[in-house]
Amino acid sequence: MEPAVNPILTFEEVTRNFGGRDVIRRLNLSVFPGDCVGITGESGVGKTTLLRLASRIDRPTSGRVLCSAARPAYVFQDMRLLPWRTASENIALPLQAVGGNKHEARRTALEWMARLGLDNCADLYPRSLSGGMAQRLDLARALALEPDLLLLDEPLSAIDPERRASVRGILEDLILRACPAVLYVTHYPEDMLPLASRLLKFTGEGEVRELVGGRTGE
Amino acid sequence: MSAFDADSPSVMPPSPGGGKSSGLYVAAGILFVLLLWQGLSLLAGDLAIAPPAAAFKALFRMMGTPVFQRHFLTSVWRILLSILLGGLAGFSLGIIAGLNRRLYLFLEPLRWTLMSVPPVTILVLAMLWLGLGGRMVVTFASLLLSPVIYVNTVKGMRLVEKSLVEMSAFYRFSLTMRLRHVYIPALTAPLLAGMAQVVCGGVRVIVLAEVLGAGLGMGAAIADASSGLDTPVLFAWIFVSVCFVAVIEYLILRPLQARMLRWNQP
Repeated sequence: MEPAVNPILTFEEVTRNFGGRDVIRRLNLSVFPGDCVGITGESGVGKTTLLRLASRIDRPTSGRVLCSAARPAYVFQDMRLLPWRTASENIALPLQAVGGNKHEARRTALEWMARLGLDNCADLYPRSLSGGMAQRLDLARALALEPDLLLLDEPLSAIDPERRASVRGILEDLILRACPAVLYVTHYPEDMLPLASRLLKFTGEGEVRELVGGRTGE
Repeated sequence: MSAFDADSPSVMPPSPGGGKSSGLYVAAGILFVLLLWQGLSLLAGDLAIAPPAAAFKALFRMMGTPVFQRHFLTSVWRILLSILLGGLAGFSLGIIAGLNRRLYLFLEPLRWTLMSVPPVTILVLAMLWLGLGGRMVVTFASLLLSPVIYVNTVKGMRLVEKSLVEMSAFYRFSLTMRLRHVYIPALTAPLLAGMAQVVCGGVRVIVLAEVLGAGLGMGAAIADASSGLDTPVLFAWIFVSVCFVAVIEYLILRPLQARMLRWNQP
């Protein structure tokens, strides 16, 4: 008999209210290692709020969020790159924060930059990068950590169509290989449907509906 | 009126760009100041305002003398020391107050008092407590400079983008990493912009303190020239103090600003 697997992320009766309006209402959700949870819905209905709660950047109005991830990573919608640090430093710093050696962190950073087509950008500052390059840098920063919990907020939105497929392939490859728990927010379900074991739809007024779809046999 | 105005606009605006035309405008501005000086001297008389030629003659005469060097270097040392001491106190308290609202509120009455009390009052008290001389001069100047740096630092801390603070907290940056990679780089631009004010202010308060309470330094030399009605020497020292600030701003602060803010260059 296989030992029970504990969820890596749990929302217990979580409500998040902004200015009298429930963006998320009494959400109960457990995410297990290997789960890929797709999250869709119109703009402003609470998708990013869910990720902010999962990442502990934000706190629920009521209820609680439990997270046991040892190496969480977040691909931010607004990238949040340090403008005064080079591209490679932006990737290396989170690796150093979790105890990585400076040289190894830089080596890992350069490897991921090469994988995501940012080979010649190591010493450039974020100001010199295009929107698509900056987003790939944000992605590289997250993936380089080899996370056990991956929070993705529109990770491909700024990437040009030519590169989108290859970057999506890299993302899919990592998710299938390393099996982190994934929360994937996107306006484009086709980006994550091949991977998603679950699909949540934010319908507005705090309601979250779980749709059936995505990978089978999980 | 305080010797400083922490809220006054930066005196280090972005460079309009290089080239011959910029240099011509600066040269024209310098010429205008000299002509204005000459005109005022003609109007008021040589005794009241020494003409430029007489001031420069006095300057060249005194520059090679050991007395000039002693006065000048004494003031330079005091200016740098008071900027360092005032800067350390203002910067470190500003960082902590920027991170801790309670400390910020606790320090507000002290900050307000130091910035509102007329500088000459603080100078008189400093002379009473510390006597005359360099220690009093540096203590006085540091007391006046530290709130300016403190205010600039606290303002800078408030302007640090919340999104970057959140990112660094999410990725578990230690406090040292957050200070080194988020807060201090974010503070660089406003602090460097404020440094020109601090240097100008430092020169003014040091000279003020030396006029009244020291036997050595530019201020002491100005006091001697004034009591002897030697206005060419007086204006020569004024010119020296202006040049000192210009050298610090254009040869040190601006290149430093360009180097430290290169990430912001297109």
